[in-house]
Amino acid sequence: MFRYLIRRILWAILLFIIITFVTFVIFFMGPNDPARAQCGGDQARPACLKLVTEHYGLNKPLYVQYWRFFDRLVVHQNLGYSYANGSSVNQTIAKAAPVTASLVFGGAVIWMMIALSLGVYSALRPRSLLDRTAMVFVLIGISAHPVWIGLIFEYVFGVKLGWTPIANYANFFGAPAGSGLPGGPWQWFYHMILPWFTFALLFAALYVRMVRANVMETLNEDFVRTARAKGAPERRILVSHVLRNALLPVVTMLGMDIGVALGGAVFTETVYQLPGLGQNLVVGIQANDFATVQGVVVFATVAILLFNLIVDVLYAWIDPRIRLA
Amino acid sequence: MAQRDEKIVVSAGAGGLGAAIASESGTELGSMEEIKARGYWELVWRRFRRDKVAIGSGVFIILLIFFAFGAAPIVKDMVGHGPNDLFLYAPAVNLAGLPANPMTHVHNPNTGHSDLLVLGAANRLGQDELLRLMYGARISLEVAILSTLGVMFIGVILGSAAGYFRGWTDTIISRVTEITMAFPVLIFVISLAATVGPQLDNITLGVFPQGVITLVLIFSLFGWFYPARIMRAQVLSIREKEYVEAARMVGASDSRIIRSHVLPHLVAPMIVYSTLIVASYVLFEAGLSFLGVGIKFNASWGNLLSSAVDYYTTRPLLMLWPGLALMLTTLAFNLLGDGLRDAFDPRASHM
Repeated sequence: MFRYLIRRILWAILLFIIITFVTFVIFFMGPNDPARAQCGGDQARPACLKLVTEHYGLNKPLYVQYWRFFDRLVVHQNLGYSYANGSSVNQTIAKAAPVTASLVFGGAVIWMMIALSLGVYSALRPRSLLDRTAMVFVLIGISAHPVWIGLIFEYVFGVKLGWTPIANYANFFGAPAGSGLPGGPWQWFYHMILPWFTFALLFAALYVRMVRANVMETLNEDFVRTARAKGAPERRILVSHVLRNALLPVVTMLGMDIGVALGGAVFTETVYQLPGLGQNLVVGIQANDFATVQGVVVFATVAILLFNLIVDVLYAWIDPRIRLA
Repeated sequence: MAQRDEKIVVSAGAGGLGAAIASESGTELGSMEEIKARGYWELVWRRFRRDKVAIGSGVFIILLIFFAFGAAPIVKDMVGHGPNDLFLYAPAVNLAGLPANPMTHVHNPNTGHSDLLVLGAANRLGQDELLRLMYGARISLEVAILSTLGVMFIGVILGSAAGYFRGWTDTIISRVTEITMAFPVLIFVISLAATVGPQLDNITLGVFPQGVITLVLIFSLFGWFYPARIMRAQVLSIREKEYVEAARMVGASDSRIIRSHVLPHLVAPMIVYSTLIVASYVLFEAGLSFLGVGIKFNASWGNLLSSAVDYYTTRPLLMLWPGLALMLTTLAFNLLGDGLRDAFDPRASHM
């Protein structure tokens, strides 16, 4: 276990270095001159340009600049300052991350609820009406664009039926004083229902398919027949023989896919105007504020790396087969 | 149907044993039906043909290609304006900035004629929704198919090299694959499209609209690892088969073994996988264009969706068309891919 842990952490560190380097190069190659952006765009005075260039070392070679970036990131945990308004990117991210986290984890709960109920039931009753409905759901889920689903939900549930708010976020711990915004747990839940379902749909569809296939496969296993032959009640067979074995790979996949799904949050946040990481990314791109964009990319990537590391270690701890492989 | 499948293939005058005996003896043996073995592709085609859903999807895709590349210029000539032409004044755009409803006649200042906006205007610029949908189909297909080709090209070469040669080739390629997989693809695709996109947009190779090549390059860069892994696994199992061993024993070179014993077995998984990822690149392109980092000025389904957001309470039809087009296209490629998989490998379960 200890050796596995060390190996896994070293690999994560290597990935961190490579990914930050690639990120740095991507933004280094970008069309934006950071000095010009900080000095007010096209009307920048030469004196200001010179000062900023010297200050940030923008005339130094790539590897020196990367080293400065890496040093700032690792030693000072500083993601820099926005080109657009000079605000700290760290603060922007601190405000945005809880929004994205509530979207992603809430959405994951919903997608697992849909996937488990639909997947298990349709596997137990193949070719029934419910099974066929589940197949249609799967096909629509993997084919419809999340943005479009979001817009349709907004239009039907928000505008036509008036059941839910059409956009914006409500803070779980109450709105900032004097802002006049809705806040508190109930408002948070109320504002997040549509985004959660929109976010969950694609993965729910993929997982219904996977759960169904796994459960059907496990139902044909010898140990299930043995349990039946020994006269175990059907309920017990399902819960402790079938589901236990069928769902372990699903849980493993969930850990890997939450990181992937974080990218999909960009679309949900844009459609519902949730001030999360994804929206900051898009707004930053539109405003040519590449300091913020870079900060969001680095933060999201590191979050995913860490998350995957924790998930991997947890699995190795639960299931010894993994760490011995 | 079953009866037809059982039908024995008659080959008249093929010079087989039956014909030889017939000419010699002159008896009724000459009318004996000759039985021919069915080839691999014929079997696949027979299984595929029975799958009505997959056939329907295939027909839909062919129609879509015709619609995008053949019909779009014809419709453009019929209505008298192009997909990017602006109609900035009433009635194409009313005083509140709302785009025109379907079947609105507008005055075209370039030709002096009165033009018809069949599906209304797409946005505040008064561009023709129908034409933009048709030209959007073109962009979607171009980006999705070219990206798939790019991804498969890199993936197949790297994957089969890693699987065939093993050793240090495999180690290097597998490590690079693992590193690429650790990147959150969507976030990196978005930031690459935003930073280097504007510099690449001018590459059009003379045929493609602006931005298509950009997206194809970016998608290929971040998409090859998955086919590479699939191909590596396939090749690893193929290279241990007896016929490969036999070929090596009689002295066939590596390139000959790869060409005539390994690659033919990769065709089926390549076709199935390509069909399925075309669907995901259609969605990807629309997503990037929706965020404003994909196709910028030209029509694309993602652009149409993003302009529909401004009017979704007043002109809900504007978000219906591109969304429906996207869903049907993706659905068709997904169903065709499923059908092809079943046809190539009948043992694999449908779901």
